[in-house]
Amino acid sequence: VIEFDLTGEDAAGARSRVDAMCQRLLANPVIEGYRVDIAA
Amino acid sequence: VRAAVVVFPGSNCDRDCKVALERSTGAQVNMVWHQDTRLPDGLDLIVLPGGFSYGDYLRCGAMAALSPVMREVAAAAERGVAVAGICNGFQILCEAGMLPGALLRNAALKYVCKPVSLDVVNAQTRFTAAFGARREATMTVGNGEGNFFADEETLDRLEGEGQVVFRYRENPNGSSRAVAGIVNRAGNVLGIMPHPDRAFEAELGSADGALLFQSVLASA
Repeated sequence: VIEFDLTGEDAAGARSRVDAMCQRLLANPVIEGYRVDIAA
Repeated sequence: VRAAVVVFPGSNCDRDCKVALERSTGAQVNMVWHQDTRLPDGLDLIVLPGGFSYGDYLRCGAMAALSPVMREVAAAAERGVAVAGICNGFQILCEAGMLPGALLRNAALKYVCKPVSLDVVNAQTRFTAAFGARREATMTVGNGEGNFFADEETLDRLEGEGQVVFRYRENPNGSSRAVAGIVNRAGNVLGIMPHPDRAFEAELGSADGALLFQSVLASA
């Protein structure tokens, strides 16, 4: 599990930022899946 | 002819690649640091060497794929410059999306280091033309994550379009369809798990790797 503390964003904004991080680096979509949970 | 070898933190075959290129082709070889944002002019070949870039942090090749120099490497590949990723370099090219698929942990979960016998599946690429009618090559593998994976559709396409270049005769790591090396659709980007840089003169047990370097630089 990787945790991020993001400030100044609503849940949708935070989700889209983390999603971009997963697509670009944190996960390799060829071989890995991922799930993003937002804890407000 | 001019070649460049990219040096990432944790590369350990960068100097081997330089020596292999110089001795087998006489090319002038520049070492390029991974943070460089400009490649030397007039390159015919860029090599991404083996090693453990960034200590394999996160996934093999994942961090190196985002190194500044990789933007230039991708742009050069778009222009048709030959790019060869060997071992960790292959992993980096997959992570960078320049080649399809991914390299997983070896099926037996162990590091495998030994000479392997390869089928030269396609001797009509820029990287294999010098093999001529030869259909066998010997090189050494040394990896923990050399198990090539792609979905069935991708594998069918790679085989159908001649993009599978080398195949293991005895699969050492569980690679899908025993794939040891592939090229991109344009044919100018090669990823290969065995090391041509460790097989460029007879004293090393095989000189077959020299044929690979000679192929690509003769076509330049």
